Amino acid sequence: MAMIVDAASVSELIAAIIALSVPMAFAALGEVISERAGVINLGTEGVMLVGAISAFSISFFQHDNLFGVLVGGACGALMGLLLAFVSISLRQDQVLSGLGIYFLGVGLSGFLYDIFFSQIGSTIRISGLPELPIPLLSQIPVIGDSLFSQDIIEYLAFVMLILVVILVGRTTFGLNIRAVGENPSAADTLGVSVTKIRYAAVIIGATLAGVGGAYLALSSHAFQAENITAGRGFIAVAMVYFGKWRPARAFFGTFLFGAAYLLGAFFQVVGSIIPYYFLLMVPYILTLVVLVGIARGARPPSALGVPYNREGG
Amino acid sequence: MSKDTKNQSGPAIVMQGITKRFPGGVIANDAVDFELQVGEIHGLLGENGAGKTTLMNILYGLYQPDGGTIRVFGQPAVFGSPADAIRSGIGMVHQHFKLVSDMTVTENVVLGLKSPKGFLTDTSSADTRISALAEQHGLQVDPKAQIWQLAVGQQQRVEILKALYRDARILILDEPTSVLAPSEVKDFFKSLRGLRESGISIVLITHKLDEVMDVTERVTVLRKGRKVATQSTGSVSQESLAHMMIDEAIPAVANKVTAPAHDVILQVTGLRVFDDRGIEALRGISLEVRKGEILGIAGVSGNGQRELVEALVGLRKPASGSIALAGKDVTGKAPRDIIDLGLAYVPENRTEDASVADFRIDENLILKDFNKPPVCGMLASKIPTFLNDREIRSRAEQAMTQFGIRATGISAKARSLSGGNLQRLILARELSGSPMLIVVSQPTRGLDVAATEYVRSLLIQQRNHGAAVLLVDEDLAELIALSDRIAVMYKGETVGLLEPGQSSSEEIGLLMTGAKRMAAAA
Amino acid sequence: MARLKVTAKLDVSRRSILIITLLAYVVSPLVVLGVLAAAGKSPLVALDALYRGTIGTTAGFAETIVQGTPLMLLALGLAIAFRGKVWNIGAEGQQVFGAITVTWFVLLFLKDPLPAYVMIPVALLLSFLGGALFATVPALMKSRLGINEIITTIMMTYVAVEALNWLVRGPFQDKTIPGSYPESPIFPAQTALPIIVPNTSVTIGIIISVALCILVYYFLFRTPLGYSIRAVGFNPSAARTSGIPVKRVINSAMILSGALAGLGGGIYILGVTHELLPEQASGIGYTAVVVSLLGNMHPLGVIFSSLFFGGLVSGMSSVERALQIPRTLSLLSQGIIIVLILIIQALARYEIKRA
Repeated sequence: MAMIVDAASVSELIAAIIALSVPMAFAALGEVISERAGVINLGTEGVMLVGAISAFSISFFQHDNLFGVLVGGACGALMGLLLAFVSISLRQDQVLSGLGIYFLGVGLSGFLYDIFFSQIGSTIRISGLPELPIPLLSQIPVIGDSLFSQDIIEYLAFVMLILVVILVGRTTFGLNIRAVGENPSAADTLGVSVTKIRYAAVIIGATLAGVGGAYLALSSHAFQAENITAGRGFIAVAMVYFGKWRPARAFFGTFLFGAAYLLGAFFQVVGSIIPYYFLLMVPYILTLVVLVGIARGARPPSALGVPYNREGG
Repeated sequence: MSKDTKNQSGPAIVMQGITKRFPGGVIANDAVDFELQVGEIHGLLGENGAGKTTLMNILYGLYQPDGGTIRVFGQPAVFGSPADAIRSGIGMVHQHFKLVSDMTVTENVVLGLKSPKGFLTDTSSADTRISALAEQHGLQVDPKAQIWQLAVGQQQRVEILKALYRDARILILDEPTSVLAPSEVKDFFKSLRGLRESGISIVLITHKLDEVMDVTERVTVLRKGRKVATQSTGSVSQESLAHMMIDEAIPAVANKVTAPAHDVILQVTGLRVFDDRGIEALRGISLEVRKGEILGIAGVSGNGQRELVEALVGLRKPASGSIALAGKDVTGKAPRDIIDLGLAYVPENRTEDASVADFRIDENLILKDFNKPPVCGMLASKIPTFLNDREIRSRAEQAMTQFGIRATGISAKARSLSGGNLQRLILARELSGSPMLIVVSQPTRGLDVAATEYVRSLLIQQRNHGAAVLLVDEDLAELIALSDRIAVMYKGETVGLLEPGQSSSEEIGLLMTGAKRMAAAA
Repeated sequence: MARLKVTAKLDVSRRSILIITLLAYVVSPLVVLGVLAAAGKSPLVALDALYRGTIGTTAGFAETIVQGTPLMLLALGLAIAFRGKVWNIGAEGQQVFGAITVTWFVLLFLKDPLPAYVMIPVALLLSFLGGALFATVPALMKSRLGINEIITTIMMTYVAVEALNWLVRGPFQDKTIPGSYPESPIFPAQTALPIIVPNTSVTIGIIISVALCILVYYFLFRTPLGYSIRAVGFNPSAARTSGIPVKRVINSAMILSGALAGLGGGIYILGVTHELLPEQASGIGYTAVVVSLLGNMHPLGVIFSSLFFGGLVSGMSSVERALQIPRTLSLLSQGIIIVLILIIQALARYEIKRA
């Protein structure tokens, strides 16, 4: 059995990995911000779904993809606001409120799809975003075509990584976020509003998840209700843990996950005796194994999951 | 607000008639007056629970007083939060630092302040300013280091720098030397004097008499929420200060029979235990408790008592040394094993370690033996089956009558019980079954008079019936009243072993505060 | 604007918990009606359809039970875990694995099935054990390595789902039918759970589930292990101080909840689908979390909340048919109801006074 690995298929594979991972990467960046401030968003999956349907609808009806992404982000922000209200102001358990957001997202996105598109027909396709090749770099054999000839949102993902790293590490806002997630009492004493910072972090996080979902819809060109995210939102949350709450690690963690996921597709193309669906288990098992490996070093933000109460209640 | 104090003639701080009550009827501050002159180091002295920290927390805006007024540099002040106090030039360094451990020194210092660069943090100019301040006041620390990398003494410097960076003119330090090694204390005092030279007024909350004598100009003594006196340090002696600190009234305790010498029940030899920070909290301590006696452990909290108790009950593994209960070695064993051998433990933190708030009274009472007969049915004497409701109920009813637990019924949740009743519940659980060894910590903290008396009489009763009791207590008077012998702990060692009748409370107080050391300390 | 002071209530009485729960039950259908009215549909027709779909007709009532039964066992297991403060988000994976285990066993005897009184109990036992086994991985990762169980149980769920996808297209696939369908062979009649209400799909599954709820009630409140799970969940520090082996208790809670989820998956496959399908991963593992919450994590409360949710699903299909509205409306209503319930329950914990 010859393994035929040629430039084209490797290039396609890289492009596919990127396209698969970018939505997760956005969501993971957002989740890092939220969790560093002390709030876990288990409903990221639902937020992405809402981002997806809104972007898809805008793209289809207005033929404006970029505006669709914007709206996707805005809808994500609204979901984030709701989550923030329930888990911060009402101090409901974050696990439960996150799942509530998940269910709401699933229901909302499915319902909106039905409302907008069920009359229209069977397969609705949108055009997606054009590729923007970077001159010269995109000429590099094998990787140039995929790595340096992406659409604008894919480039944006990497830009966003840099922005988030700067935000968390070098801005006063980022400083406040880290303080609030680590030792909210210390921040409170110095006059930082724990509530306001957490609200902002959760909303920003959800906005990014919404953008991720929006991109997912645009890059998939079609929309299968209820399944388009296929768990990517939950994976993003896991990647934050995997990346030990560092933006870059979580970000590239999603790409590693995407690569592991497409391993199955790769071997399928290349001809292998290991069944495709069996290989699909690999990324999840791999994540578990790595978690065991890094278990010692992983320390979440000390106040993660704990509602803040000035009197210490 | 002008922070220029050179032209101020009046005092920096005037607190008048400050009163603070906490739920449960505790009066932490009772019409206390306090005055801080500009450029002085003023010691605030008292035992644990005297109200020193509460008073300063009020000054810092963490608590709001129920009565009284505050004036800062002559201006009336009402602080709704620490941010207000900070704006008025007051800084406070707490006993438990408020630092974010994985952020750098600079980040911790500038937290909450507007950055000169607007959106971005300006670490370089902050670094410079912090280094300059540090240099100026002898508080050197690397601004780029992360907090977790710093030794505790250095972390303390960061806390002080936080205040100085905000132009604090008044600095409140809560037991600052409790985290310092003796060698670090000298440098620390040097810095304090330096700060004073720059015109900063300092309040030093402490229980250590030698430090008061060393570095303060004046000292105010609090006792049980009231101010006893304010004196200039030059005009008092350690003995008279100890006298002022400690309540002379020794409560009458009924039915204390003199104890004949009995078998040793608890034998501790050369115990070395490390605390959570990796610092040696117990340095080879040895003691023994006999059948039918109460050994009191005197000492201000933070000198290793907590680690001693945790090691005894199986919650902390000693690094070396041994613990034997009735001859059996229990060093490093799990709580279950030690309990099974006859240990009763009454922790100082009732709600966190001794009871389950959301469990009912009857459920709390079976916390230690819920899987043993008679509480639990057994199959073939080996396999636990079902909880015996009737037994549980009757035990609860009996306990409520016998121990006087006042509640709506045995189904009342522990959460709804007052402090005194919760303690009765805990004692009912721990003391039934004739335990061999009773380890009890701060038994009457926060309790009203009736509950306090009851708890004391219970402990005496157990002792009379042959239990060995290890009593850790910050209330020195109570300790003296209850104990047959007293071991005084200071910095992880026993610095004195004496009988209450033979020593005065001042002498014990001096031992507690490190001013003296007995030659024959075990 | 007047300043409001929100303080946590000291003791949320049993009475107020019941009132809040009832409130949630009542508000939910009202929400549905409200959503429908906003969409311009007649609430009266909807109310009628809702009634007929839940308890008004035999068919509706049967559907309520059929939908509620698998939820009941999963939510029951979650009640145990959550009371121990073990956040088992992987009930979905555990129920899928339970179904996989059953399929493996049934396929062994596909040609020559043993009599029903052997096949069914053994299969159900295997699904119970399979779920337990599957939950052991996250349990050990939590108790030995301190790894957050939320992440590990989610990962395990995907492992199970992908395993399911693989198995129904591979080793377990029905090769006898033309074409390539992702499904296992149909299970022999000896494995079908007996039907207890004629002309419906209501099987003994509901009896097993309710019986287990009662059993778990006794387990949680009358046995030492149940007691220790509750103690550790409420106050691990006090539990540890009193000699309770906290790690062992956490493991037990996690493994038991996985076992019950596995059993739920087994009952579903033997009672409803009679073959292994990709649809086994229907997402009820996640819904069960909310059902458990609505039942106040109480074994007896779960009986009502799972039937309530079953009724919600069944009633909504009835409404969909009656009003010609898309299926996704039920999904939306479900989502709204869940968030509303969370809000109501959270509010119940607080007193709001003027400062």
